[in-house]
Amino acid sequence: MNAELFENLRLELRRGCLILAVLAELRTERYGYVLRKGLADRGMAIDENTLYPLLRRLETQGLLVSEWREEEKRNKRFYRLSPEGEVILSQLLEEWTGINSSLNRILEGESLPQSSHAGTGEKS
Amino acid sequence: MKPTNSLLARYLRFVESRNWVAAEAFPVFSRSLRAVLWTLLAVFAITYTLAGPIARGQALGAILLGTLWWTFWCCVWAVGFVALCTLIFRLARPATPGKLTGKYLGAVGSYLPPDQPEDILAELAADIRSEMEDREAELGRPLTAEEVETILKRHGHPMLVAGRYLPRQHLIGPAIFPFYWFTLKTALWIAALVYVVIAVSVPFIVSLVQIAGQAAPHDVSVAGAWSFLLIGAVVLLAVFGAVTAVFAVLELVPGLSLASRWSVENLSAVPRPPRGKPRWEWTVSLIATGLFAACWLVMPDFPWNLGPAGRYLTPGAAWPTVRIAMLLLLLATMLEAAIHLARPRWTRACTAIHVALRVAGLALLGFLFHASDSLVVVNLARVPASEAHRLPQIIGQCTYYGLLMAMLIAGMTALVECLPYLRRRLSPPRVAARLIAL
Repeated sequence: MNAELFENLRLELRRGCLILAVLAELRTERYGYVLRKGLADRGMAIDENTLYPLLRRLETQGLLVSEWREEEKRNKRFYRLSPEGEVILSQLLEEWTGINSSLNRILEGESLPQSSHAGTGEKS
Repeated sequence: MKPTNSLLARYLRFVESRNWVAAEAFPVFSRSLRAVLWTLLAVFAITYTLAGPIARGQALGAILLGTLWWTFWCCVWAVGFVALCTLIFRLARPATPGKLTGKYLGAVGSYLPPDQPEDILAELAADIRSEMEDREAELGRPLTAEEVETILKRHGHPMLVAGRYLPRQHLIGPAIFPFYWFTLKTALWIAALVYVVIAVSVPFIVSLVQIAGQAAPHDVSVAGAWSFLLIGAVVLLAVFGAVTAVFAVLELVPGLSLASRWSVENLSAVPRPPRGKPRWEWTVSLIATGLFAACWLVMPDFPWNLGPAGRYLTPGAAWPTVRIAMLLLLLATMLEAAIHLARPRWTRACTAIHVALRVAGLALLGFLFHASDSLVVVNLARVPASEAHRLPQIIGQCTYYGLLMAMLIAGMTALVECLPYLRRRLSPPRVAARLIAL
């Protein structure tokens, strides 16, 4: 029961972070398999059944652009961050930094400085 | 070719994806299977068409039986042929890595919506090939069929893989689920109540109308009870389906937000937690039950001797048993009232005796219902000749439906009263009341 509960909470915690990790990784152009391996090598493993639908969704939302290209005699679909995606990524990174520092303060038991990161806790 | 979704086509795709039949032999297998099935269908159709003229003059049951018999044999032959072919072709030739990948991708493709672009499959194929190449580089040799199958199995069932690309991943989303759940529970309760009332009252009215014209004795049968339950289940299932369908459609409406249409003022007040009866009610209950028990004990014919019908009625064979059981029940009711008055803090004892009384009451009603034919006897010698044939029937029907209604009401009352005892500690009103108190 506890293991199952932990797994559910862990997946919930990772869900938002995965989007951030994918966007950050695609600042450099990559195709799906290399992206998946790169994320796994950095400790953010993601299975292909989650990654590819996510990539398609992010592309539909205009945050990624993709093109089919031949590499090593094989056709592969390469993804990279779009200009709009870069803006969103920088905003998300700022939000992430804010959440991270707030969480650190909470864990260390410090009090919140007045008017610091006013928006971070509103829609978590 | 666009894949079809008929049962046969699905079966053929399944056989192909599991590599039960070698690729070279698969077209022959597919054609043979279709030919046999069509032949059986034709034989069945011809036989059925000829069966009419041939069987003219026979009973309808015999014709239908013959048709069913043919249908059964057609199914047996078809299933046997499919099983035999599958077994033979399965042993024909082992799978190869390339075919396995192709079959897997084909299976995923068959579950994708038709309007999805082809590049989903191309991208999935590129991913699988890259993974296989990496593995081959690690091992320094080509992969075997088993190793390829392991990689493909790790990717997941084709239906699940394809399902992740579907635009909707849920029927009713989290935004409207609380409204759906509340509406569903309410609708099911109301439907059950309405069904019970209609199912009991309509036959009662019909039977009274029938008695006025012609005799129609009531039917206490197991089949009747099963049909009551079965129709009730169908009604509840229909309500469940209708509510779910409405909310599934609401989920499709863009921009519809049920959660934004409310105001604090219109909310219902927090209900007070259930409290016990006041002392005066228990006192009245004790006195009234005592008086009733006294009447019950003193008058053997009570209550059949009351009113104008008293001169026609006398207690039946089952009545002495009912009298004793009823007397015990009345004494237990008095005991409950006495405990409440003398020892109000004995909550567990009060709860136990209350639940026991409800169960005993239901059991007594069940016995009465079972013995409804022998509860009362009509003294036909005193009944006018014109009413002699109708009066027993009217009394029988009234007793039967009256007891049935009483049982249902008592059952629901017991359920409503006893459930809070079982989950009182976690009841939302108590939690809300505690929060207000804070």
